[in-house]
Amino acid sequence: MKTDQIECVVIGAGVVGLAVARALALAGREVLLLESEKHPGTATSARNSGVIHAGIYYAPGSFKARFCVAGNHAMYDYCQARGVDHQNCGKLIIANGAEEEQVLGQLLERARVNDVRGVRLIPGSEAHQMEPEVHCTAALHCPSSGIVDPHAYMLALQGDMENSGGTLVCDCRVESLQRRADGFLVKTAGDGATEIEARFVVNSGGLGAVDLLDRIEGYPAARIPKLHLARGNYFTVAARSPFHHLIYPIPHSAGLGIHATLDLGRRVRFGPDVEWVDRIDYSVNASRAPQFYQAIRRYWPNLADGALLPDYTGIRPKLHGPGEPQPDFRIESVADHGLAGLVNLLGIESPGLTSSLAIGDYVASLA
Amino acid sequence: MNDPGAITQKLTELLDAGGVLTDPAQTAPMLRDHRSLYRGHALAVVAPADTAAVARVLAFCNEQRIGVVPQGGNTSYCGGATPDASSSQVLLSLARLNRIRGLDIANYTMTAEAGCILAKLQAAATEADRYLPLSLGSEGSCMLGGNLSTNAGGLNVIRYGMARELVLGLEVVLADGRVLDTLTGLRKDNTGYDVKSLFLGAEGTLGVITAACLKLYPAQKSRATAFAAVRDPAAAVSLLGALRGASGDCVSSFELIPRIGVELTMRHIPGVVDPLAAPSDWYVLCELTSSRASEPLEPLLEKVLAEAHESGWVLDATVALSERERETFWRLRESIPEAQRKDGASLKHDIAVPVSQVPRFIEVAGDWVAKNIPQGVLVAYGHLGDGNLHFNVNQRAGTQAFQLQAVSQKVQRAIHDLVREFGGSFSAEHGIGQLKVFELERYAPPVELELMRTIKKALDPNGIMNPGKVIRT
Repeated sequence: MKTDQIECVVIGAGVVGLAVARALALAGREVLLLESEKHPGTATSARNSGVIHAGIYYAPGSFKARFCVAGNHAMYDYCQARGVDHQNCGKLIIANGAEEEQVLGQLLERARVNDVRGVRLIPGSEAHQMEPEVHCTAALHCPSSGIVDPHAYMLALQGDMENSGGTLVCDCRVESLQRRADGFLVKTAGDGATEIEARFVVNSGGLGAVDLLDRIEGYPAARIPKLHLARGNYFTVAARSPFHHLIYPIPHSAGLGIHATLDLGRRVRFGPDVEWVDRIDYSVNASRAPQFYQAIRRYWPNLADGALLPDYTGIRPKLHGPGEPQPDFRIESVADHGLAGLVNLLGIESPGLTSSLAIGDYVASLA
Repeated sequence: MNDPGAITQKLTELLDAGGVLTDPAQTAPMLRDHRSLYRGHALAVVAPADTAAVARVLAFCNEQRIGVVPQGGNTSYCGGATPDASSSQVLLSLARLNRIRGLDIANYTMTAEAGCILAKLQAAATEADRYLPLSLGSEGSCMLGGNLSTNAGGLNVIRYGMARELVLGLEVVLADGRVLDTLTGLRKDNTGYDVKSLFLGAEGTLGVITAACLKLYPAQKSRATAFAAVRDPAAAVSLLGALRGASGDCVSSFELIPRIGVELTMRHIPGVVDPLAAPSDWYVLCELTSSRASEPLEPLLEKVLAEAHESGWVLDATVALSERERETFWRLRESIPEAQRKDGASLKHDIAVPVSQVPRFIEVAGDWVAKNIPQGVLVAYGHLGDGNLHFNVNQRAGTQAFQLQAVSQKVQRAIHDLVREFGGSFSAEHGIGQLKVFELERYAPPVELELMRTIKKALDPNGIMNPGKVIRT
């Protein structure tokens, strides 16, 4: 077998892998992007809410806070420049009752610390004018939230990468990484198996990123975290969206609550919930409908019986289990694991889509 | 019953000792496919000892709505015998059903179980002075059940047909555990629908083949083999027609080989030599066989080749004078895949078009590759007698493997679309498995797909048989 040589290999062509490969290619690096599925962006990147987040929720100074806020601005500029379908529709985080209103106050403060501009606490009456169907006693209005067509966005990233000389190879699973004097030997699986020598390798494997750690020669076994899978079910209604903004309840420990998001076709979908699962199975758990009715009717009392239809699901690659606090993105390089030329992107769930351009720039700066 | 422990416990009760495999060293190789394309996880791996035990497993799994993935020698090219990654399916190995139940010399039949290794069946036939013509590259490890479930092809299709044509009867365990037994060995039996045919090529999605009654033929007693340089693929097709006619249909193999195939094997495989003095763009390797010991095959082959030379079809040819020489011809042909692998990356397509269309197909598809894939070189070879080409695109010297792999889907789409235009098949002899489910949906006529789904629903209403393979319901 012959060995290919290339400067940088990025493993996983989800939205983050594409953004990383694009940033490397734009910086003049030679890039090969490997994807195990037949097409880029078919897992987590295709199964999310398609929301451009503002960056309110995350611990100040964390990767999530920094990359989400920076990524939010970068995303709007990028979509504008590249003609990627998006809409800056804004979002309402709504509260019902004094206890929840208190949380809104905390979120407002966090928005200020995280440098999220334009967030206002508004009374229920004003929220009602903005969204007549929504029931709440107060709300946070985040004008910088929006929605994007993730597939059009990924296609644009891929185009940039390829125009700068990068190459995407699909249907190519990485079997192992072996250490070399300067970088790694990347072995791929299947009967098209090849060996590629690369100086800089980025593990952006999404749901498979943790699994790959075990097959990286020299990676400290004690550092390998347990991967938890949290399925998010989405339901929809047959009618056009009754809302004009994204409508979010108060967040909870593992997710942002069963919220209402719009897509660019003005369809509304509700979700995602958090359902801990032990394997990747994208079927919708329709038995969760009662919880959805209950959660949605807290802010949309007009939801009719029988109106919810199972829509789709996504699965978040989580580094925390049920009841544990949500950790930050785990972006590790030589200082963390001791292996020069390796960057691991672990636990990249929400707000990964919004953060993608910022993560790309950051990782490219490590190359 | 959702608890994996309880399910395994129940399976253990249904089977004998050794019926449930739990040693990871034993099960790990069974959970990944031959080409390392897929890695699965199973709820349990079971190896029943007989048909009744297979029936008990299926009845239980059907009742519990548990998917069952049958497996023989695990040599599928399309991931047909690998469970998915969900740990929710039972892998059912047929390896312990490995008895030859009977060999009826006068009836020219053999009844054997699904877990018999093909080479063992060939040897048993030979020992009884009979011939089992099914022969393929993996015959030392593939098993009868898989051969029949995938309707395997191989080296003798031109004369004896695909695996389906060698089957007189089957024993099949249905999804609900009932047993269909058509092991009569009758050559004439027009009694209603030919239901056994449904299970041949179904890849275990309709039921599990546990035994079959196979046709045997008179033992092969004489043979002649030639390696010939031909003007072009069209000349090869003309030569095939002439040989079939002149020999009374004794042609058992007729392989088309391009110059690059000869060059690759000479470069990478020790001991391969160019059988002819001057290079030629195209070659054929042809073999005549007969069950008559005194059949004058060599003079006949020489005569036809000489006439073809005069017609301008054949540029040069050599007939094997010894078994050793014959082996060198076959070694060249059979080592092309290995030589390709050693030479670099390769995009492979197992296609078939009508024999008469092969030359035109090679021309049109070859032009497309030359114009669109500068990083690739065409390596098209295969069973010309069956219209089956291994239409491969290899990495060009001086390029990197990934540059070719990056266009794999573009190449596959273009070639398969062209195959459709030529009235051909995108999967000639390797089946659908999980690898080509979407290709089937794209290329099969809607009425045919609908019929397949109707049959699937009728025979496997709970969708437990080899879920996710062949067809989505």
